[in-house]
Amino acid sequence: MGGKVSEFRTFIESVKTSIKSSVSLRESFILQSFFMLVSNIIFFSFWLIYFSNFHSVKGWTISDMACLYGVVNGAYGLFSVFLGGSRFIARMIFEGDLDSLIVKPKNLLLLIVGSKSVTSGWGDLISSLAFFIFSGYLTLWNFPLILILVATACLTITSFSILMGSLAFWLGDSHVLSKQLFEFLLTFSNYPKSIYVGAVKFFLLTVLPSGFIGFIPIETIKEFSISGLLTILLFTAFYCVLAIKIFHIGLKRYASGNKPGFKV
Amino acid sequence: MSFSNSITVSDLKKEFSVSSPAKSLKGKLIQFFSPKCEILKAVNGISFQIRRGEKVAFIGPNGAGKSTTIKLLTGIFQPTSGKVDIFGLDPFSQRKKVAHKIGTVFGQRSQLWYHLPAYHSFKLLATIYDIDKKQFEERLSHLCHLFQLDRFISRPVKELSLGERMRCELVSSLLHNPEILFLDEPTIGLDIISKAAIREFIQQRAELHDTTIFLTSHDVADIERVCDRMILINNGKIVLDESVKTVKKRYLNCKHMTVKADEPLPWHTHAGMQLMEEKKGVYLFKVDMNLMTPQEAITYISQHYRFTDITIEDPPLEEIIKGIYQS
Amino acid sequence: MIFFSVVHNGNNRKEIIVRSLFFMVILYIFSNLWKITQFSNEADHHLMVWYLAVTELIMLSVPLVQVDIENDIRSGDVVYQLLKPVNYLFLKLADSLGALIFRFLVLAVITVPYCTYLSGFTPPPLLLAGTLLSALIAGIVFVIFHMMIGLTAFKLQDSTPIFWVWQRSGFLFGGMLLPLDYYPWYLKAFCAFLPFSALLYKPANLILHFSYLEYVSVLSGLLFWGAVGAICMNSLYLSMLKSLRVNGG
Repeated sequence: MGGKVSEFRTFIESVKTSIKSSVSLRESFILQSFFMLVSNIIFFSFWLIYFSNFHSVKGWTISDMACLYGVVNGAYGLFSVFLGGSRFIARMIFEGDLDSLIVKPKNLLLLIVGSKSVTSGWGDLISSLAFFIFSGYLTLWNFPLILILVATACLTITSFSILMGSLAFWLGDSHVLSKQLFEFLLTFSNYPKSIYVGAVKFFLLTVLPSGFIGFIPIETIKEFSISGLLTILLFTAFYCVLAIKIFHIGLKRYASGNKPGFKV
Repeated sequence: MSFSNSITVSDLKKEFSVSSPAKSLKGKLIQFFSPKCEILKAVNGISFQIRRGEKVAFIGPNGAGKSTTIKLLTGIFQPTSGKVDIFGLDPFSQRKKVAHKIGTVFGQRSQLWYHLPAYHSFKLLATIYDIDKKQFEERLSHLCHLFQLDRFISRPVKELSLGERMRCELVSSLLHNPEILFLDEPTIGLDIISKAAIREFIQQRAELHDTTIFLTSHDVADIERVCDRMILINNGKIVLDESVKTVKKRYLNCKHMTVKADEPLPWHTHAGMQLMEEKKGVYLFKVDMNLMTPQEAITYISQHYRFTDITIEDPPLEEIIKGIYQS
Repeated sequence: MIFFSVVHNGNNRKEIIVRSLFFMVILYIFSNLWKITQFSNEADHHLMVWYLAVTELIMLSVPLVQVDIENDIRSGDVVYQLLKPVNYLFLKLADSLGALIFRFLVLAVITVPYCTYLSGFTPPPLLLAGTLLSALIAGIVFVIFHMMIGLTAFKLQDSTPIFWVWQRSGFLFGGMLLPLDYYPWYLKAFCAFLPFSALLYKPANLILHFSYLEYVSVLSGLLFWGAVGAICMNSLYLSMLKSLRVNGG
């Protein structure tokens, strides 16, 4: 038990240090956060114009869209700020930065995940709050549910990021591919459910879990159901475990030294 | 199992299967379906024991297996076969336990947060190594005093010189009082004064706290001034495992004599002395100790030539080592 | 030189594959959105996919030459480039045009069958060819503006914020996803003063509403903004040269 507490304490301290580091670059911090905030609003403006012309699409209105943006931006913001190190796994593997963490007496994945905080994430967090307020879905009653769903979406994004980063254990310099797949994950999650049908919808609920970051949480906020919430929680738990397992399998490969394209 | 041994390595082997990339499209297709792998024996059966408090230099040419060995000893790599024992523990399967006992400084890689003052990195390390607040304050103040960090501990790491940064890296690795310190190229890129300072710190540490030192370096002065034992590895095998003193004595069968002269020295061949090079009035001779003593060499030069300065000294360890590689 | 650049870009397979994938994903998402949108004009939801294809084609074909120029300036390489017998701007332009043409061709080849599949409809070949040609010219004008942005790095050290503002403005004020006709009147009026509507909305809109008069208007708009961009770029370049001659590297 003491071990787990100590791991948790280390993780918190790691994240605190990473955030301190990213905020210490005052100018960059303000600029990046501001740009991200404005960027998100500009992308959302498409929907403002769309809905001013068409009012609703398959039961979705501008409020639902704002809520979707709230969830996705909130999840992505939490991921960037608090779990941002997972973005850099591929680079760490390729450049050998993993070694100095392996020799530390704490859980490797937690150390990696807490090792960096991405500044622009603050812009995502602020815009997320703005979107939720605008959507009208943010009520005292709804608040815990929204918090849970943003957290699960964040964990799904993090798990996907770990999976993508772990590809480097097998494919070497894969960070371009990882980055692109990650962008796809987020792109797909930003649109309403009704757009996706059949095989694509299935794909987005399994291989590329954009559904669990975007439209499934929204459905549960619009119309709460215990089964909906449970499905999300179960999927998130399953996906996290999968990511952790794949990472450790890759790590074994790293430890056996069979890194593709690396110098010995 | 001897508890006076901090590191025991028995018949350690590490093999990598490397696939050489195909160049033609046909080659690539063939490789995709039936990949051809070569076995690279990076570490090919090495054994040694290091006692607590020993200061060992682990050296070898590039590609000899040095980095691989350090990674095997610190638990980063899993051995293909053989055993690594750190105070009775296996660094790979008992990673966390061993981590508390070892400190690492990888010369090219930093464990400090770049944009923050070193103090913040130290604080985080204290949490990682479960050092309580009081202990941390005590140790940090002691180490800061020892390494003279007080001047720059509150400046961001990116503003520090390489020498200052390396001192901070050393402090990071010593906060948790490790029993073994692994140093991979700790003086690389430093100026002479900083190198001397780092060597001094490492030596002091080893002496005061009985810390075992395991050092790899290309700088022979690191070996000469810090270490008392030398293990030489080449092509994955240990070529030499002796104390530094023994190496110098055994392989030292000649001396270097430097003669400075204003007028050109018309040199004739001599059985015991060989002119190695001459540049702008400075002549470098190799004196064969089997054939003549230093006194005889100096006497000969004095009797036959006019010179302005003469020095006679041991050849650099570098040359000795080169000689060993080549044999 | 342009031909050489085209061939050179052909070697970077990973990049073009990734870009094409992204292109196809965006078109897929939006074609589905348009299918369930209740347009006042029924025909629109077939054509909208083509509209988006053209704007995306332009945006995705343009190489990030401003990054190259900024790197040249930051690293000081620009001084050595200036010593070459060929004008630095022409060199960069030729290189970028090669990249532009290569990507444009690849994406255009994907566009025709893919959009036909998504929308169930193909515009008349002459109309399509004319639109694509105007899109290519728009791409060239974009390259000029990107080069201009890259040159600002000389005064500002970092052109990234400016490029970022440029890119987002293009998205919003260029009608990238929705034609400007759907915008509120005050916004549409504002957009007319900016280059983005001429570079994105106008060429793509040819797919929706084609007329020879409109085509001439589009081309002249492109020519106008191309000239503006070229003049600004050149004056920035000359001022940079002057600074370098006076102050050294």
